[in-house]
Amino acid sequence: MSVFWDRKEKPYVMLLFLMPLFWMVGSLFLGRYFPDPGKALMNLSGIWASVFIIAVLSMTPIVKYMSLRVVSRYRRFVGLTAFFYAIFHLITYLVLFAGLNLSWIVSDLLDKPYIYAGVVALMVLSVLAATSTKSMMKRLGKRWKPTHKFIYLAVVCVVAHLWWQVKSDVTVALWVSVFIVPLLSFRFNQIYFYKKYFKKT
Amino acid sequence: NSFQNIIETPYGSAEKVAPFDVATSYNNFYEFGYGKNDPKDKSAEFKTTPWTITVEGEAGKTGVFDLDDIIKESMLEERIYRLRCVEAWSMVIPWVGVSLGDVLRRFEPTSKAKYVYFETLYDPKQMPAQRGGSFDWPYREGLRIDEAMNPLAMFAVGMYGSVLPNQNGAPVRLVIPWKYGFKSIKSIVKIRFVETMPETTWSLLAPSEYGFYANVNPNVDHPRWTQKQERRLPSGVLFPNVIDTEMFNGYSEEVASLYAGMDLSRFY
Repeated sequence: MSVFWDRKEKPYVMLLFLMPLFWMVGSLFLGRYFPDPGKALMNLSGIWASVFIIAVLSMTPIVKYMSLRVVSRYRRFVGLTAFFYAIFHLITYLVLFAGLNLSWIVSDLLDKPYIYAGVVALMVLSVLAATSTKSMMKRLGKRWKPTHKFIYLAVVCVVAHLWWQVKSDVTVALWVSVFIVPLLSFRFNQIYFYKKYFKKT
Repeated sequence: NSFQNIIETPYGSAEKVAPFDVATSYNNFYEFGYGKNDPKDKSAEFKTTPWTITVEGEAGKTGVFDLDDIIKESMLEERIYRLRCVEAWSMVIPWVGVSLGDVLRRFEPTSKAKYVYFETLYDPKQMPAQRGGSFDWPYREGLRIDEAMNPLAMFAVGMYGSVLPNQNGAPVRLVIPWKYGFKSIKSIVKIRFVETMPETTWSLLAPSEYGFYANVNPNVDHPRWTQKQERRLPSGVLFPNVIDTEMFNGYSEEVASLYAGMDLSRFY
């Protein structure tokens, strides 16, 4: 715990990151998502998980180009928040949307491609969250960084998950892609140029 | 706006009807926007009187008809039907209207009328979402003539004892309770009797996901989600009311014979 609360502004940052949750739960009990809260909350929680995934991906470029070192201290915190909202998204699907109806969940899981994409993304995020502690960093050593590169797989799955389930309204899928595609190409460019110009010399 | 002397019918008398506010604020009527609240929020100014319907094609009596001449208030009945959306939610609605077949027969369809085609109003000034988007407006739907003549098929002008609210398809819509909701076309301005199967909006947009028939069928999933269950709205705060979806939305007795011998997984 003492390691986690290493910075005194952290509780306030946490409160800030939890605001969407408080808002969603509050709205739920105020009946704002009536008459189909499962659908509304499932969509909203998914949007917030995407927002925090975009945020964690943006951190490297922000640190690099704006020299905002303080941002890099919160990389793990933002990543864990993304994981938290992804789990919340899963719970809203299981309980509020599908009513824990086993037949519904199993048939979704068995043959719906966009569900696979979401499941893969969630599994990757779980592994990253589980290996995010200092002790896990030490234990994994050199393998830690390659392991955490799997965030790119999760991101690609998130984008697929969003586009695959569009019925007619592409707004959310489009906005998430607008942020994620440049961020991904930034990374791949970086790797490409790095190899081309620096590695040989 | 409420109708007098509506004829009572036994349809759905055992069902639990959705609250009026739910049925009028959770709608798919894409002409007014994609959000479930958009139809209510954006249709207040929609003008439904006077309203005419153009009747064309393989029929003895064609032309432009005033809605008031097609339906007389004295003919109206109330029927409580289950409405199953292709998105896997459902509601129970008390509709007011007449049998679709009774209306269609008065136009004297000929033996060439194998199908009947319907069209929604196209008026981007009044229907904001028609100004853009991926839809090829106007919204189009169709039925095989024997489906249209089935006594369950309804030509509705009201719900909950009063005229249809704009967001629910005023002033006149279809209600085809054994088919997914998108077959029940709203704000109808055109009826055409045709010999070949007409093109319909959703099957044009995504033919692998939405067929012409679109019968409620728990054995044929939508490619991207299950149709075996549905959320009967309104949901509770934390738990939805998930129930098993029935074949033909529970209207097998009345309509199964229409599809005898047909492979319903092919003709979805």
